[in-house]
Amino acid sequence: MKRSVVAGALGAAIIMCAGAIATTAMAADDPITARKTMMKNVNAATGVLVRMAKAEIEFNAISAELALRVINTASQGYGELFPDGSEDGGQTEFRAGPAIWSNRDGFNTEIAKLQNASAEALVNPPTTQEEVGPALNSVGQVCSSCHEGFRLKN
Amino acid sequence: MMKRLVGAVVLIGALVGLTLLALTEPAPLDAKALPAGLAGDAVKGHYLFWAGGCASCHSAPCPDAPGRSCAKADDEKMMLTGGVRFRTPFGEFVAPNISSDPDAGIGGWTTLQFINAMKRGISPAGHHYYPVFPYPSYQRMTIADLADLKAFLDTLPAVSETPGEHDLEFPFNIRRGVGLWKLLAVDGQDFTPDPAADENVNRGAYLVNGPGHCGECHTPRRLLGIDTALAPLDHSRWLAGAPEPEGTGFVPNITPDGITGIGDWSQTDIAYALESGFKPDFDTLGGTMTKVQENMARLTKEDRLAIAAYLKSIPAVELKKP
Repeated sequence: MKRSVVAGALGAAIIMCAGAIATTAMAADDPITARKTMMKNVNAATGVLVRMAKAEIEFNAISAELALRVINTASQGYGELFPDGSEDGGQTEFRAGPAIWSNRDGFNTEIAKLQNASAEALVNPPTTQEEVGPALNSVGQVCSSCHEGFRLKN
Repeated sequence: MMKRLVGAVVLIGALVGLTLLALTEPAPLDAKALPAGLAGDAVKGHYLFWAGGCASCHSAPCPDAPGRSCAKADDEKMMLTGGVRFRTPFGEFVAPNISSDPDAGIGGWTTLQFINAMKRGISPAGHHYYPVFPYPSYQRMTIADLADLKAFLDTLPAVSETPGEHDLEFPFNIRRGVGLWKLLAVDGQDFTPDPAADENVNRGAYLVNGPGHCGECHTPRRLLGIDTALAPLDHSRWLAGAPEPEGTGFVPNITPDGITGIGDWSQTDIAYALESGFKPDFDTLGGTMTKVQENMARLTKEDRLAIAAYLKSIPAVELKKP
């Protein structure tokens, strides 16, 4: 059971990392799809950490670290996915807020915060179930903060 | 004949005027309402500072978004400069300086004056406060808690600048008129625990109804059958969701309704969302709720669970976001 969880998580992470590289290549063509995909991946990784923090799934150190790495990967160059001209993301549940373009410095600061927070959490990744919550919260604050200023609900 | 008519109109006008003045007369608590030897505990007050969310409205505005505060670190949250601008259908309100400065802030206020502000919405000069300051909820706080909170606020840094004045549309700029609104919205009642509910649910009820002032955003407002921001809270649809106070968007239904509310969230889900910002779908609580969640994260785990227990206990109200 444990081996297949690890294998599954490893496989998922490899796919996500490959996806990240691929989407970066595609970014010039379709940054809107790329950035939505990245955030969906972040959502999935967050889900692993949240479930571990709530003890809904068994803690696994390798999977927890991988989840943090997926979040960190998403933060690398995330700002490139919001070029001028890509303001209209359509009418799905959420869309990129106009502040991204009108306050580019503020947006870039949030991305840098995510890079730093996730990198910091990876210096000493969680080794027990009890450590997942604090590690997640240190990153989660940035998620909330960026969404507060730069994401809108449709 | 004309003279009699004019005389009658003047008399009726005077009577109406006097009646309105009488109805809108501020009714503060006097010193007799305070127990003898009331001394505030600033340590307890520090906790209430988070429970009451003071920093969210009274800390400094974002330089590029004056409608909200960007204070993140504790020391930023405790610089209660005021200045955040709230755009409402009535005009623009500016949050006041509530730092410990004796002139620009509330450093010179007595505990009784602070209690009258929070429980009666009355300033030390005897004027009504506009209910953008959510005293209809804060009025449920105990006198002991308010004394503690004041003691804590007295320890915070003094800021000597006053932010701007409100910029309100007629007739809302007639402050005395708030006295009429208060007749409907401020009952002057303390919090009464439900004898049928357990201690945990009652603790959650106190936190939500009093310092948390959750109802102010999460409950619709209705008067004479019309949904309007001008009305007091509609307690028959308590916490069932409402339009955002500042115009766009919708504040969610947090009753246990399975479809339109958060009935599918467990008590642990609710408490965890308040602690971390993550909802059961692993997305973050959004917009203005971010600030609230930062405050809720400072409460004890037990208190967050109590809030969750209360939210699971209130009537489920089906109210769909429009």
